[in-house]
Amino acid sequence: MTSGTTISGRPGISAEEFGYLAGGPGRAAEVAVVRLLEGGLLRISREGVVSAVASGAAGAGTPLEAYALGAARTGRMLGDLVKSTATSEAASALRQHLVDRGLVVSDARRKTWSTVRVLCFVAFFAAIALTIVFRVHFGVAIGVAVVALLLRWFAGRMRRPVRRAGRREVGRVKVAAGDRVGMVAQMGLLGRVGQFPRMYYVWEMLGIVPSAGATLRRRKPVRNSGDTGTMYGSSCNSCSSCSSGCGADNSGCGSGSSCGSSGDSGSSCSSGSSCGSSCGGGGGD
Amino acid sequence: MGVLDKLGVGIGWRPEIDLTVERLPGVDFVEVVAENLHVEHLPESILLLRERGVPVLPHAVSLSLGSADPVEPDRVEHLGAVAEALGAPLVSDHVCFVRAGGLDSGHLMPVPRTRDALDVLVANVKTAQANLPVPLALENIAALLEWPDGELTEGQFLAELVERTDCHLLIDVANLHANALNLGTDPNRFLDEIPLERLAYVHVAGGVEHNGVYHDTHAHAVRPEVLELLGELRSRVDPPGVLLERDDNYPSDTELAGELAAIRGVLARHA
Repeated sequence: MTSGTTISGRPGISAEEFGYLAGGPGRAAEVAVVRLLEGGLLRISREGVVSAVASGAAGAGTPLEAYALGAARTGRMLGDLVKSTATSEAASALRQHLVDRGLVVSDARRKTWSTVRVLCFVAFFAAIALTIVFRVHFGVAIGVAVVALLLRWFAGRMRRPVRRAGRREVGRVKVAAGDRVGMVAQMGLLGRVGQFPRMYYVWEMLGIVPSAGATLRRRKPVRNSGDTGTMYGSSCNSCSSCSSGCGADNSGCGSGSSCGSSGDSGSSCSSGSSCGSSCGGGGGD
Repeated sequence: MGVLDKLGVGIGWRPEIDLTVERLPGVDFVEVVAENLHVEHLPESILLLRERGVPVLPHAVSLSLGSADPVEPDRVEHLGAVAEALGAPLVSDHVCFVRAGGLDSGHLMPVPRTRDALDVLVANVKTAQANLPVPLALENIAALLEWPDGELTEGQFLAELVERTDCHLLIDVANLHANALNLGTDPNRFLDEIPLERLAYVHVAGGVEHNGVYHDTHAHAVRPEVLELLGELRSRVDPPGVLLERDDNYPSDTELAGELAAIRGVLARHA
């Protein structure tokens, strides 16, 4: 598939791919929409309505951009356009492309490791129950419980949406100063830049007016780890990467504290259990 | 004519291109569709333009002044309220009817050019004027049909309307072009017959010819023939304002700026 423009001059990975790895399909969709806005192929109104510019029909550089351009033909709210683009077939194709390149974990593999996590959970409580009810040797029960917990932790790492190679790619990218599309890919439109108290949303840096920026929504939590929505939190399972990949979308993840209302199970980032579906790319959905 | 002595060159404000309109260089005034505005919730962009001192003129499409039925007071009241909220020097609508017998046509329908129809139109216009806080300008429309047994040309019809109501005229040169192509009317004769001293401003818009019929789409580029008609009008009178209308399929900011520049060029060449 067409991978689009490279990110900050780095060959081998496009801005959309970088966005996907850093923040999921919502982030990739944001990259596509922003590139079209920057290229004058889309325009945005004060109310946040994004519409295709009449003469820009043939200007899309990637399938994701082509989808966004077509979807904006009749005018869509910025948030809706990003969401629609993030759930399009073009976004699925981009995901599959990243799976094929070994950068993103396939759905089947994620489901397998999710099942292992559930089985470990069951084994842990079964060991405790056997000790209490059937007086199983305490040492054996403790051993089983510890192994179950360790295996569950390992399975949690293995089911992270982005593979080590993908995280490595994200780490290698250095977004150049002034690379506005790269900034979106790295932090998302709802990312924050600057130092307190002079912090700004990325959409503000791009010149998007507040009423239009208000149409962007943080992604709702997705419980089903098998659907594409889980990819939104590609870099959040590991809180070490939340600071760049997720901090833009959920400050709670960046600090390693609870994902709070956006976490699907309310568990903490450090456990790696829930951030994957609650962070990253949130601006786009 | 007061503030209408010189409006300049403007563009139709539409929500989809609000930021474009704000950014375009040399936009002297804008026009808004009155029915799309709520007085209590004026768009931020409109308020910003007003703060800059840009005149914002409400343009109505639903008064249906050519209807046999009396004008609906609520519609006139809304138009007046919008004009007051915007500090507009005048408002406008069309010489047409859009509803009859409780049904809406969805189009601007031409009025039969008979003396009876003119009497009805004059009565409705006077009613509207009596309830509006600012002067009313009326626009010639693009028609795809002419009613039979017309007693007056379009120019004569408008001239008498102006004489009897003291209304202003909003002349759409694209509509003149459309009528010339579709109905075989003579734009020069039209310009000869209307009282140009009552001209409030001029509309320029794009359209497309399809199977020998010109469609006044407001969604295509302005055709050279329309600009030629603007030049013809300019050679007769210096219009207080000229406004570009674009309602769909919006081109890039650069193209819109180019169309405004083309209008300015025509006005300068025919001065």
